[in-house]
Amino acid sequence: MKLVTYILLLTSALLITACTSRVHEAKSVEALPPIFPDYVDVTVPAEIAPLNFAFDFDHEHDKMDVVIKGSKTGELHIQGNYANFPIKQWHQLLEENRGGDLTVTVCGKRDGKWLKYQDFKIHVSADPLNEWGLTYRRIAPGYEVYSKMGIYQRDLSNFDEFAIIENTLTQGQCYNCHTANRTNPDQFVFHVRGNHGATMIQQNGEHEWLKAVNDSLGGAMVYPYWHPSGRYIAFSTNQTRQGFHVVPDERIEVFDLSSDVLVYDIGKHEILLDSLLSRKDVSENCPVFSPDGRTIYFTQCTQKSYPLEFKDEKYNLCRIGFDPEQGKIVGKIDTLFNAVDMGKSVTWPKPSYDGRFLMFTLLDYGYFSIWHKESDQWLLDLATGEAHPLTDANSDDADSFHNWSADSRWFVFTSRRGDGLYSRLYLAAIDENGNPTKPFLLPQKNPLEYYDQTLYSFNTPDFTSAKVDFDAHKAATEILSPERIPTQLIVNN
Amino acid sequence: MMNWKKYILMLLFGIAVFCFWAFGHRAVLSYQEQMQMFQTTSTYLWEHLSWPGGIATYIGEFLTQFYNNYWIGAAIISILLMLMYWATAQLCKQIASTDKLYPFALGPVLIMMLYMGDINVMPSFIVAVLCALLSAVWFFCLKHYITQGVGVLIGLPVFYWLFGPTSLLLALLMSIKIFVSYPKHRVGAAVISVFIAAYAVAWIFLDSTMVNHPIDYQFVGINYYRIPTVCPVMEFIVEACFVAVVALSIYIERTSSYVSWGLLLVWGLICASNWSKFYDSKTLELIDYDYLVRTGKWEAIIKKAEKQQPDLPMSVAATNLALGMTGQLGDRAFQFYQNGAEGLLPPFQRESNSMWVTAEAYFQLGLVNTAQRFYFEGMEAIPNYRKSVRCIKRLAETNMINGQYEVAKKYLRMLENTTFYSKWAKRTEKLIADNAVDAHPLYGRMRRSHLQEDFLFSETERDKVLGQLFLKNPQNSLAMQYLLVYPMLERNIPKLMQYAQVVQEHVAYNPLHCQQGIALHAVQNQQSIPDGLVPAAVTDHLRRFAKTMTEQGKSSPALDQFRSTLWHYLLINE
Repeated sequence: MKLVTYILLLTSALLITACTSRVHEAKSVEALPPIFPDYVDVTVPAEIAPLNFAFDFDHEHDKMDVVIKGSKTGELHIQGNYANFPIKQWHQLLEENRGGDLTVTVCGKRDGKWLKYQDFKIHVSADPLNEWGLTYRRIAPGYEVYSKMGIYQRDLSNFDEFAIIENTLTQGQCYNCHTANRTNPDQFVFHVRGNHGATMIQQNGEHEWLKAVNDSLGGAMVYPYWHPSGRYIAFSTNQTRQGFHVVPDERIEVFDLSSDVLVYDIGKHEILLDSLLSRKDVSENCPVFSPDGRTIYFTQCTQKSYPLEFKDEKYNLCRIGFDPEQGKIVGKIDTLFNAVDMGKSVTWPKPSYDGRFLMFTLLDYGYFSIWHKESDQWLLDLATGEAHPLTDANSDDADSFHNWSADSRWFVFTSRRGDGLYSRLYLAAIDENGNPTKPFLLPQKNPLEYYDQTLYSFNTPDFTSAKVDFDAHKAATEILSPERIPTQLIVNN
Repeated sequence: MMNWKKYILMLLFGIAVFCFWAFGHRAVLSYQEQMQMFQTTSTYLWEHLSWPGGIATYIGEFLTQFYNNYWIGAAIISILLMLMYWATAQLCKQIASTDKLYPFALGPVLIMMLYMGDINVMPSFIVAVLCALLSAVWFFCLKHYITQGVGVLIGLPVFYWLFGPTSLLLALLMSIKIFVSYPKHRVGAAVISVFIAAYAVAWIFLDSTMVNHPIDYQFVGINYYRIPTVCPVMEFIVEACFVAVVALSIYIERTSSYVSWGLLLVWGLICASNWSKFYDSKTLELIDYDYLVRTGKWEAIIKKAEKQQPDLPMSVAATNLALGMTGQLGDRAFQFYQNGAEGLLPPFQRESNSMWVTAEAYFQLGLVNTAQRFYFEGMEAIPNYRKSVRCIKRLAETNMINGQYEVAKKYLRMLENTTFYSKWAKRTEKLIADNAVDAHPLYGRMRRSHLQEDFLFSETERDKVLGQLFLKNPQNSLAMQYLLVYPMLERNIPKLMQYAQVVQEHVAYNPLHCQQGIALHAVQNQQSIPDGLVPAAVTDHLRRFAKTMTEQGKSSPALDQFRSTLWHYLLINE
């Protein structure tokens, strides 16, 4: 019996060794390894999940061998169909090399022979990622009809994903614009669209369901952003329409027949609408508060005749004062970045939480940038007023909706650089001078298979400092009930 | 004696089921097949293990992919129902210890067959019921109370997770067995029987929070019925029939075998009297049209329409498309019922099949983006959140035509993981790799028909889009026919004159209905009918029509002889 045990142990040990034996006599290739995702020279936080990768579809190999060496210490060696790093060892290696580099050596076996590609580096940032993970919505990149969709959260230190809420629970509803207050999951808001529409606001475990549409306002509250005090939320209210292009390179156009910006007072259930932000001939959109809560940044454009003049819908970035004590708009509108003069349009302004920068997306026209291949991320220095494109983070395809980590050292954004249609999430670091690092795709256990097989787009990503605590089954019951809290419109002329 | 009779009955039933699906309802098989995309990957299997009943869905989808070939599809259904019959008969036999209940045991299977007439009944339900019956057959063989106890305590929750809430059917069958097996302990057996049923219900509640579906839907069964918002009462009736047959077999075994045959007759009568409620002729007609459009059988569509006038928006659109594809639209459109310009290109609706017929029309017209939108939307409109292999195939093509190769390749790789589309996908992917899309007879032609000037598609100005398609490529015969018939269906003769002139500037095309329009326009404007454009026969025909209408009035049956003319559509069918 003992003999059998020894033989089994020996065989297992041999098999394990054989599987992970070092590559000898590999032919050198003067090229970087053709891997997916492209993790060459990216900068990652030490807390990130393993950056697993594989040879891309155009360069399939029978086997992959990867050795990662830390610039300070440590080494990791794996072999298999794709680079699938053990989570614990990965984190240990990254922690030991915080602020240093990892050198990655990739060999591929094809037709019984090993090829050794050029080494590349992964930089481990000295800045910690002070976030638990991400929240995002997953939905098919469709037109008007939506199938299964939901709002999800993802632990960034591993591959665990949890549904916050899925529309399979309420059948036919659409959820969108999940927004937390400065990545704090104790305060968040999202919208429910469809027959049982509502705006849900959760604060410290208690949540309330507001009527989706305020009749006096004549529309729903859209695109939320929390006031740092947690007392207000800035929204826009939009009469949104969709159009469908007929030429091959374009698909969908989203435009507003009209839009205004408003501030919602959570405690009083009051919508504060100021005449300066609700002009008839102007569309105001995408409001956000400054980190001190005394300024509202927003975009605005001259109202055009839609859908004929949809290509003339161009937004500037503006700001106006806000008095949180009085809950009032104060001062005059300032144009902060004149995109119209450049023949461009601004959307999704998001100030860094340290108040230093404001990130926005620039596109040729309109504001729904994910359908615009030309859209890119830009950064405005709020101290100097100068703006520049985040060239290292941008791509030839749509780079769109973004959010900052609470410490303003990392940002996440959506991009269609993968296949031109299905939006994926990319993360990058940004230094004190506003220079981004090369972004990296949100890691997955088997990224090649995952991203190739999914028929969902990721959108409206944000960081979350802790796991969102939300009882989806209870929420579903509440969504399907008719009980809604009405809101009152207060107009300030 | 009884032994061979029961197999003869089973065989006859199986042959009847096979013929029913293979010859009478093959379009339904195609319908079921296109509403899913079974993937041969391990990920797909793991995904299905994540909800109760996932394996029933997985097996159901695995089998449904073979409906692509209707001979195999019909054989699969036949085998499933025969197995179901065999299992029911076995259960009856084990309760009643006699073979004479075989005719009676066919009853619930006939009810199942009736229920399958509802196109939203998913194959996963049939699989789940069959598995419950087969599990019950296994359970009925257990003799010792310990093995029976283990069967209940472990078997039921495992069964629920794999096959879904037909675990309740299994639990009730188990209860019957326990109740019958211990005649000396009736009270104790009754208590245990109730416990088994309650235990099965409890597991559904226990597992409910692990799944993002409402609890009532979990009781119906995830993917047992295509529309999650509907509670299909008939599903429970079907399951109740199986329980009732097994329970009643205790009593019926004491009667003559003629009673069993008599009860089969009753089952048959119940089915016959409810047949049309489940096999709804209008629904089946639409599915038939959709199938013919999907397979491009244009002549068959026209023959079908000739036999029975299409009168639903989708069937009218399919008929017009078939006429257009065979170059007959301008000559024969009014031989068939028309419901206005929407009969050419129905407006957007949140219903998969009608969207796919419209999508096919746009695809054949060369309006690739709009076809892509309708296919995509049609797929998203599938109520049980599945993806459609038919749509993914077309989406791969539209993206390839539009030069969006990365997305096209993504779809093609998905199709490579299917059984029946893999070869096509590999062939098509090679077109991209070889840069041979332009040279492809269909894709290349469509690419050359691409509109260059960008604008937003408008449902209210479809004729202008048709005009642009024609002007971009005057060889686009379908666009030309649609362009001319569109104003006719809108009853707008001045617009027809305008469009006819544009067409004739590029192509010598003047079909019968166009001639009729030109003649009518001339008469209405007190002009002479142009000889070069309108043959004398058409002019004479118009004169006779006018005379009949003037002398006998619009409601005269004599005008029926002009039913297939544009004039009748414009002036009589107002």
